[in-house]
Amino acid sequence: MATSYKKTSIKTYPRITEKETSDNIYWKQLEVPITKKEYGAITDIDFSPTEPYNYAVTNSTRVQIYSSQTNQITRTLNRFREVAHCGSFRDDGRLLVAGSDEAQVKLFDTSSGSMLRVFKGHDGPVNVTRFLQDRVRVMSGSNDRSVRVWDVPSEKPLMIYDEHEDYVRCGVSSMASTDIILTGSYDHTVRMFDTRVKGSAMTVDHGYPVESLVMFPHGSIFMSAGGNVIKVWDALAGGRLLATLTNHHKTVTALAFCSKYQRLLSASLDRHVKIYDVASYQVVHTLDYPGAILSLAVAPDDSLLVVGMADGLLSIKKRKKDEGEVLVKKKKKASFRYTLAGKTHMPHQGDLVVEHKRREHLAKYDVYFRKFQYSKALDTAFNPKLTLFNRPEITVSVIQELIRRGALRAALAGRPHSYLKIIMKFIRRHITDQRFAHTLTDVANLLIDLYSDQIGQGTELDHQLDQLKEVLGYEMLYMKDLLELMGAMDTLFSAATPLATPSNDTATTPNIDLTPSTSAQAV
Amino acid sequence: MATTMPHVDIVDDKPIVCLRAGESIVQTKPVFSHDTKCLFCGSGSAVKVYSTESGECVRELQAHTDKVTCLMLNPANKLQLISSGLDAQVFFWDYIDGVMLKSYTFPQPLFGLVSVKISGGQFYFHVLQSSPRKQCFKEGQVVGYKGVSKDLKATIQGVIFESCALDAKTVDMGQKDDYFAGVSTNRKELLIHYNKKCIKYKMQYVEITCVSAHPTELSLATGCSDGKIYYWYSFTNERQMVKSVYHWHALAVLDLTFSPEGSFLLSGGHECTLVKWQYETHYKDFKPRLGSPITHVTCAPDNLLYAVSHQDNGIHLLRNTLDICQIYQGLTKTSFSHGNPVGLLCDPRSRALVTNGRPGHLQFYCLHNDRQLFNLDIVRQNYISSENLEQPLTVTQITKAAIDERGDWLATYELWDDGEMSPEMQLKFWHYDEKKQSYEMNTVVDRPHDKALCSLTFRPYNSSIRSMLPLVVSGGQDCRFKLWTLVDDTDIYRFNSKWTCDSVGFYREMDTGATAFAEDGSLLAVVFGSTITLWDPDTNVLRTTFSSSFDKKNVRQVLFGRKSCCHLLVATTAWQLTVWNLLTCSVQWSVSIGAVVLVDDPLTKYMSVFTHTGDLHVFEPANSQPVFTQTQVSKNDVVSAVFIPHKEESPFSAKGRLLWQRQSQLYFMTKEQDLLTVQYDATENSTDGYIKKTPIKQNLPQSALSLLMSKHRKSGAKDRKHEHIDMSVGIKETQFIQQMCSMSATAQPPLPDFCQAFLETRLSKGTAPRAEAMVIDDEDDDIDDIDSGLQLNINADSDSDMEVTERSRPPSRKKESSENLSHSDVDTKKLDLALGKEYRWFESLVKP
Repeated sequence: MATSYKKTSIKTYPRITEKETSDNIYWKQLEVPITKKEYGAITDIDFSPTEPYNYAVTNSTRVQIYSSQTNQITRTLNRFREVAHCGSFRDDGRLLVAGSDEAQVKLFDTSSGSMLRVFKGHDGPVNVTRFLQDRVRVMSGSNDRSVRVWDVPSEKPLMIYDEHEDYVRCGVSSMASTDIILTGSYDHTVRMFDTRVKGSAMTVDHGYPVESLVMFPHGSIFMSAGGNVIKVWDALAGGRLLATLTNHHKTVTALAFCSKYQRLLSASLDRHVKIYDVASYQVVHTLDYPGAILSLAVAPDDSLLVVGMADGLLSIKKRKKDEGEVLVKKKKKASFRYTLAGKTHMPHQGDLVVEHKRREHLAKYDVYFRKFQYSKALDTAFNPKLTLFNRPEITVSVIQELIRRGALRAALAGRPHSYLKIIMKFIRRHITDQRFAHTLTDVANLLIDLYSDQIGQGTELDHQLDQLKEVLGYEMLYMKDLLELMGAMDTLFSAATPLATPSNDTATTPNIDLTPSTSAQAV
Repeated sequence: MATTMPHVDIVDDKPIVCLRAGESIVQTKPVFSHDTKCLFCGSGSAVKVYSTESGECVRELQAHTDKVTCLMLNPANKLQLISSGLDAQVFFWDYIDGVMLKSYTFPQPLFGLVSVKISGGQFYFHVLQSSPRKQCFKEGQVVGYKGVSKDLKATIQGVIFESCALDAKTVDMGQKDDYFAGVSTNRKELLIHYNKKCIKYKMQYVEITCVSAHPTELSLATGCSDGKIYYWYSFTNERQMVKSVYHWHALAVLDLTFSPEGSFLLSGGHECTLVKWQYETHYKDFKPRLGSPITHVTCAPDNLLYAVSHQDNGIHLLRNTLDICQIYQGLTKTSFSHGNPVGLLCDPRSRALVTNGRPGHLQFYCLHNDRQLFNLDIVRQNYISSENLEQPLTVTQITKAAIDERGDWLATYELWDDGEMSPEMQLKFWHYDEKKQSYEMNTVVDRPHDKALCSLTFRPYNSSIRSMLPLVVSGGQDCRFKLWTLVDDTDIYRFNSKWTCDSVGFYREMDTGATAFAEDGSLLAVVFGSTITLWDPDTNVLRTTFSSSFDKKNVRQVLFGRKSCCHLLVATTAWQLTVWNLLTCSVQWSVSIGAVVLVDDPLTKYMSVFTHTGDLHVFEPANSQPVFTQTQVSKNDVVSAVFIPHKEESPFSAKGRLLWQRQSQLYFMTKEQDLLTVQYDATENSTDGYIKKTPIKQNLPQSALSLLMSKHRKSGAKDRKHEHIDMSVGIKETQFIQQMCSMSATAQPPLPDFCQAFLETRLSKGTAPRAEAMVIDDEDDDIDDIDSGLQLNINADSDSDMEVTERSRPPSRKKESSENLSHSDVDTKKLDLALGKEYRWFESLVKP
């Protein structure tokens, strides 16, 4: 059967450390973080819902607005006398509301930075402030245990809920309804209020002081974080608990959505950000940070991940631009006439149709293998690009194919010393890897065979061989140590196994009581 | 055959060994019909007619009694086909109706037809035959014959070449000018017979491998062993001869052919590449990677199709644009020196034969209609023809393969070992994809064992356990066996399952040999040297070991009995076939035959064994008397065998000696890679035209000697029986002590661990008599219970059980019944048993 050229199969080896998943790849495409040091703990970060997705960072007595393009501060709102809290944008991005320890809620214009409104009435520090979906009302939660809904034009409170029994720490307004708000408190409860009625519509018990809340845009499912657990609740089913996620080992401080509400992020004091799949609530990736995390936010277009830490460190991670996509787009830019040229033509009956075959893309070493140019194939295998990118398996697979074709000796022969140096370096680095040891030992043997006349003349090759010998010496010592350890463990295992057998015997002892039927004899 | 036999019933009882399917279809140059709708090729002693459009074999022309050597269209009537054979006959066929029209008998076997001419109502043949003078195999001569229509015998007319190479490829005749071209016996000279004289042209150093005459001009092309193609012009005059060289092939050119108009030349060779040369220009076109060396090339009369025969027993049909449009594939014979390393397997889905095909491939061959279903590429590497034919490249070979009972999983093991570099080995697991109707790779394990694999077996499924996962055991030459299981690898991104190594087993660092699973998958037998070890495959715990004291040879094969013989284990060594009873752990019977191949029928209890003398014995493990014996099934050694279930109605009726083949047919392969089977001679008429049999040796009725032999064997088995039981027990004990002593003091486990093993050796001594006692015991119980009107369901399970754990029950039941019954003799007897003159009661403790 005539077949197309079969590409050289690159042996893939199972990764012991971590499985390569699409999420891992996605989250590894973040650039090196930009870090900024602020005066106080960064308690809250909020992205503007409109482009260019600027973000407000709340720390100590100010709210700073950063540009998402330059990641520089464009405006600082510092009309606070005491610590500010929860600077959050309206859904058109033009207004920003923030609470403060001076028991006031303040409203700013983000373009000019001027303060437009001050809502007074709370008796304690205001921890949470949010716009409602109708844009003319603001909700706030405070340490005075009350939740208030304010009217922006009149600066007057519309509703006051005093149901919480401890500090109100977090809250969120529903995107599905203009009247629904959720608040979480240190009294372990999450309450849902309908601003049209007095009293809470629903209460769920989280079990720990609630630190953060998020709600899906459809408004039926929300998550609460507190302690080291995240709980998922179904609002439509009267607050039924759907799932409990206990992946952090310290208090979870912030929650956020990303990837169009397909993934949930949680940040914790244990310095990790964990990313969950919202369908299965399984952790798909984990990011590490240098300090305890208090706040986190993701740009609506997923281009930025901003994390604020307790020691005032702000980490901004930018997503890399996918270069591959740009190339594909360029290719598609063919002229209309050109693309349609052959496609509409219908062949007549009796026409000989010759199909245009697109040439299959082959790796460079495969191109040379196809042409039986073995030396060149080996050259590409030791191309520093391939080895630098930490893909030794490609090089080894090419060597293996050369061995299979009986061409390695010819490909290695007559090389200059500079080239041998590269090969020896590769061998030295990877010969102790169990996956490549067999092949590379063969290559090393072959090299010594081929260049035996040049060994011992004080050349570069001698130096390389000495180094290889050193590496192998270390490896032997290492193996010896390992064998000793294995022996010790085997002894332990063999000592441990007999303990299991007597327990088996005791389990069946009731049968023994039945076997000697002395009582039967007596009757 | 039937007519020679005096009694009809004896005829029916006359099984013969015959060749079944898979004959070479590339032995002759294929020939197109004049309208290009059919392609003819010789297959064994038959001529197969294939449709070029559908690819089906539409007709099979059978009349020759030996190999067909050459095919040709009748120049006088394009609707007739002429075939010549080694049986010294030429037949004229009407291939449309499949009728033989005429036949001519020649004095000598024909190796080729050079030309056929008709003039004056008489046929003139030029044929290639072996030279009568010397008994040299390679020397032939081209002789002219005249076909006399009266007696249909050919008479000699004249000799063209006295001595030439005996190869149909090297002889050709000019179409226009009446010249003949041939090659001398040593292939160093080109011979031209023109105008009744012979001209010789000598070649330097190289040999001529093939000759093709230009159809219209006075020129011809020769292919040489160094890969060059020479064009010869005006060779009728020695002085004016001109030749030109064209060179592309790196290795010898194997065949050449001109297109009908002579504008193109097609050539093929070991490079697996078809080269299309434009005549007298240097333009050429290639079709590379055709998979296997090209042996014949033919061009259709309308120049639209090319037929290319390959060494792997396949013919490719190519359009003139060099696209493949059709493939005819026969049973591929491998290039291994000793048959197929994988042996013969049966695919449960298609009931096809699975065996090695081309290098790195497994072929699925349907024996029922004699065609290849597909070639599965296991190795996925390019076939590289070696630079030097004397030093062939080592290719990656599939040396072990196994298919599970349902055909869902296929496990293959491939090995690349040139003896110099470190070997490359991979174990691959393939899953059958229902949508794609083929096997898809699931898992690749690099270096599953440190050394080569010697066995690979799937565990049979047990229908009573639903959640049973597939399990594979692989035994390696590194003294280990590994159990591989399917594990779930599903995450949120995909559904997936993969194979992983579940556990590793070894036994006293002895060489691992064959492996086998019991029919229900509950026991695993692994051979270690001369010892058979039985393991629980779920926990990988050693259950017991069998080893025969008088036969210290390595056990070669081991198989569990099936159906009613599922308690028996059959093992073969170089000189002995032994059947062990798993219930009593003793030898059931044993005969001394040198078994080479042992194979079992998956549908019945029968097994068949091939001896080193070429005899076939079919037996059931419970009985030492063979069901069927056929001596000398093949001249060559049998290397592998398989039972393949029948697809339709069984040809073997309720009576007759081949009754054991009623459910599945036994096929076996010899060293020469002939696929043979055993069947009644009488079925020849009833079967369709696919099957052609060549009786190798007829079976004789039971002679006095064979009767004597079988009696002797039978009695021998009986005599040994009791000896074996004692020996086996003794062995167990001594083994235990040996094991204790062989261990170094530091490595010995603590004392409590020995207790169990010690108790077990005590136990096995009383095994045989106890089994009898138990039966009596149970019967007594029955009577008691019926009398007392106790529940019978307890009896039911006590009757059926042979399990050791259940044994402790009678005493407890006794306790219940004793409340109602008075003290009786029966009771005391049972009591004695229960209390245990033997130590039966602790059995349940020792063997959980």
